Amino acid sequence: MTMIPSVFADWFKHKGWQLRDYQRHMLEEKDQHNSTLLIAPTGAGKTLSGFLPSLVELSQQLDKSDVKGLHTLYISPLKALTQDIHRNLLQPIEEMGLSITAETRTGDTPSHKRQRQRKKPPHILLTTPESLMLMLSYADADKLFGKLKRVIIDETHSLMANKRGDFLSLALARLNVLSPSVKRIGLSATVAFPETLGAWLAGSDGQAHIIKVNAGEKPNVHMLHSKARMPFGGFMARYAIEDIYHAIEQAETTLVFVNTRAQSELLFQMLWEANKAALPIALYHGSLSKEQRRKTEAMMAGGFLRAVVCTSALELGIDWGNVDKVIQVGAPKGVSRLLQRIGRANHRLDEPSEALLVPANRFEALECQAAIVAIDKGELDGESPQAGALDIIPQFILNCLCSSADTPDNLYQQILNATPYQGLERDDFDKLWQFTQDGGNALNAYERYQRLTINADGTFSPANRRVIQRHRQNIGTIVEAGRLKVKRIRRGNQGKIIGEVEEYFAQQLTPGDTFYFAGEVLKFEAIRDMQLHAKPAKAKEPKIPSYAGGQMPLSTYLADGVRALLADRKTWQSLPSQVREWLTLQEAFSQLPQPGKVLVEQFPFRQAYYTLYYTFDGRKANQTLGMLLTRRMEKMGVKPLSFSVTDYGLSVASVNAVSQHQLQGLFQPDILGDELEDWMLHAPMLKRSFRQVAVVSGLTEQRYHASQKTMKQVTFSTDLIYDTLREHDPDHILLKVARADAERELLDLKRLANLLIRYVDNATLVNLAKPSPMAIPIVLDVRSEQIKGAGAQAVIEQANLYAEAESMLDEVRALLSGNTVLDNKAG
Amino acid sequence: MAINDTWLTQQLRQRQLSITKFANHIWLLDARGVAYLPACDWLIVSDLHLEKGSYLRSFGNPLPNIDSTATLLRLERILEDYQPSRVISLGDSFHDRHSMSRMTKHDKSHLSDLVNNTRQWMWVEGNHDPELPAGIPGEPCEEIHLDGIVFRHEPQQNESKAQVIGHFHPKLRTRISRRSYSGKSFVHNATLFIMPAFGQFTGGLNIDDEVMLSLLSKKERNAFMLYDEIIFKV
Repeated sequence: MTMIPSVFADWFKHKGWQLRDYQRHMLEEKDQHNSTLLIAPTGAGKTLSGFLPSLVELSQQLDKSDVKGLHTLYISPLKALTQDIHRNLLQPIEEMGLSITAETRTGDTPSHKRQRQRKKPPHILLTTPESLMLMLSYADADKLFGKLKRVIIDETHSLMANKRGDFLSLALARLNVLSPSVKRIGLSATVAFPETLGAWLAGSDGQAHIIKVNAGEKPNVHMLHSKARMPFGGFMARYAIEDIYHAIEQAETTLVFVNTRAQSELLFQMLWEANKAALPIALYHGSLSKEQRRKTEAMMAGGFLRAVVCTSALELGIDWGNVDKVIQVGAPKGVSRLLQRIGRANHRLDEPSEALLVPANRFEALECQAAIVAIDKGELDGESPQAGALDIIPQFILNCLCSSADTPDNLYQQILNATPYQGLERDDFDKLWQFTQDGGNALNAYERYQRLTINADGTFSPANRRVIQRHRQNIGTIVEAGRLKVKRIRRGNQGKIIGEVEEYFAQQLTPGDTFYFAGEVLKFEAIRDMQLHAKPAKAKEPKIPSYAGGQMPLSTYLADGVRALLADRKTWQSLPSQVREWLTLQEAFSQLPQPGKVLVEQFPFRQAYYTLYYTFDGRKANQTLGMLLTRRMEKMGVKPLSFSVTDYGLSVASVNAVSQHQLQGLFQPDILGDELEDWMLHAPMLKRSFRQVAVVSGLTEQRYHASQKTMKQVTFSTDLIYDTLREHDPDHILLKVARADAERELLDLKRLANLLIRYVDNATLVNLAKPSPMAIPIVLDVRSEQIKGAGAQAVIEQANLYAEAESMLDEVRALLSGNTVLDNKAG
Repeated sequence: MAINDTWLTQQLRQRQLSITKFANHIWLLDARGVAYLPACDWLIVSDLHLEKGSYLRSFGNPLPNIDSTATLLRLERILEDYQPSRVISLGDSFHDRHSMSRMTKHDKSHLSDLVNNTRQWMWVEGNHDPELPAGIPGEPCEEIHLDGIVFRHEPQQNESKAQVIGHFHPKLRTRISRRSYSGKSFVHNATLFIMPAFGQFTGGLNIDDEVMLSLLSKKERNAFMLYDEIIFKV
């Protein structure tokens, strides 16, 4: 049994703390398990517990002799988190007078510090998955990590079933190669399926040792019952500004969570307009520049702020000290996510957190209520594991080879040790290897360029320094659309970088357009050198209202909750009276969705017909269904234009209306015909995922230092590459990868067929003169998939000036028949 | 000349073709990205950028190198339709000086066949291909004159004649009924006519970009967009 060293015992005593049972347990068994997963609610002292085994071990060793080299690696999914944890870690180290060194290493770390860290690493290094991967690409990675004893992965729950997690799982597998005895400690918030997470953490080891700490008090969660009129649609919650402001006034410090960056900008603006008492209210989201975020963090830590309007960027465990209220504006999207956010308030286990939910429209009120019910019952929505994203493999292969020469066989074995990749087929791996080596098709006999060269002993290495350099500049997997820096221009070309926006947002702007950014209205000037130049504008209302950056998916669990709410009238009592009225109105104007039936509403809207299918089958099913239905509609001559999906249903816009007869033809299992595959490959969704895949796998590159010029030459869209591959090289590995990637958002067809059978003869068509109360929030959702085909052509037709061309037709005819062809006298 | 009234009417009805007037000539604009002069049976195509894919590959981008194959196949189908007496390739036909050394045998012979099966094939020089690669059939030239029209790759200032050019890869984006559409584009005014880029891997410059507006102002320009295999005037 490991006794806790006296210096630790004294420190705990001095602090007035007691070593908690699970902390003692972790210390006692610190050498028994290769991986340990600690699941505890926020505020349970989780992070300190993660470090305790390392601190104890290091202090005992340091008592005997000098300890050199990296002992513990701490990995956090957020850069900001490493700073915060660093501060919290230094405190006990100093107070106990330990000679343990701890440093951070992220993308923001200056290069001289990185150099020194490589030569003389600290005992404890705090870093991010991307920085870890970069360090693993160094030739001396084996020296740096060779003596590593422990690796702590914070916020492990946020790394399940996404690319970032896949990426980290590969990095961890690599660490195990360099230091086979390394022990993993995962720290996680409460999750629905601990065993799944434990398996993810353990890798090829099977299952982690799981320690669960029971949640403390259930949080007090309320929904806002506002006196102001709650709108049917929209996502900005303007109606509730006074209420939100009032809630901020009443609390010490409030975190106001919203779901998108656009919402945060707008809400921030609106709060300041209502800010009669000039309360210090700040804004925080991932697009703001580092300096701006640091400033806000510092002010918050110092207790100077009364409220911060923020996005999921603040969701994960940064300790803000004295937050006593959390307000969620907009639908909570998922129970686990909501709990995580609520957990930001009152970082103490024994007091319940206070939270207020503010739905932005009446549909969201249903979602809020469903979430409150779930929290009350102690239920969570969980993510099921997914096969690892394949586009990361070329990156990983190159990364390993940058560090040391190796063979495909070896690397394949290493990859299999990462849980998400346990099912990776050798055949796919070989194709990905080939792609990494030379781009993956050997069509060209004149091929000169290879990214990898084969050595005399059969191992492979990067072909030259440039390959290595480029790879290092492009490490990372979180590919959002291309991003542009936003420069706030004061005069000429001079100004300050204040953050970043997605490229597609910048593309839709024309000079003179105004938009909200970093809490003010800016006027767009131009895009220069990958920067968006904009000047502060005098206008109060921006012309381009928002950019939809950082939308988040809804959890299927909540969709079920909403369906249950609708079906059971008794539960309506707990809803705000306005929402009850709305439901009654829906019933009078159209119908309420019935259990076991699919309600289909149809109405003219925005120069098209909209059909809304209330399936309540979740986003994945609706996404796939959307592709199927539009394909059949295209065949029927309904001319679909676009569709958008939510968890509750999908809405399809089309040129022509759908008849009752056609509707019956839509929901038939034979819809899963042959050309389906081709139609799906046509879908913008596949192109979107190909765009990501192209960047992650290194087909096109995002970041260039000195070689801007080359970048320009690759700026033609990846859509062109996609179309070319689809037609001329349909077996290309990247198409397969893109398909696999998109399937994360799709339901497999077999399961869909079963769903369809349920819908047969159970769809009720209601024709309406305008959108129903329930339809409004859904049709106002901006994210829709455009469909190329007869519909788009028909729309273009209406707008076009074909008459002009027709009027010249006779002249052409005369030329064709009149043999008036001129002499080819030119030269 | 292989096109006839029936074909023309059908193509027009299916929006595969549009007609415009430029410099006293009637021009057929094909949705596939080429222009045809019925008066002299000439077909104009611009910015093929053959072997752009393999060029970028040689810089370490693992791009698929099938762009030339795709470009040539598309061009072949068009030539079958029109069978023009002369093809004018309006510059930047080859992405760089060493294009031919990288082109596959198959593509090379395909290209030669296309050129040899056409009565006259003119390669107008462009900034990417100031010299015609060796072994390519067809006639290289700086520019071509017809009536009051000059065909060249890049526009010349103070030119008194009407100019037909490539080089800029025009594309446009427009909103119709609240939906946004974008595609390559033909664009012209009374004196300047800019061809869309034909090559498989060619991006584009928006015709509302400063550079493009300085050539063709919004007021006087006629723009035609290529979208999903149809062409329409904007």
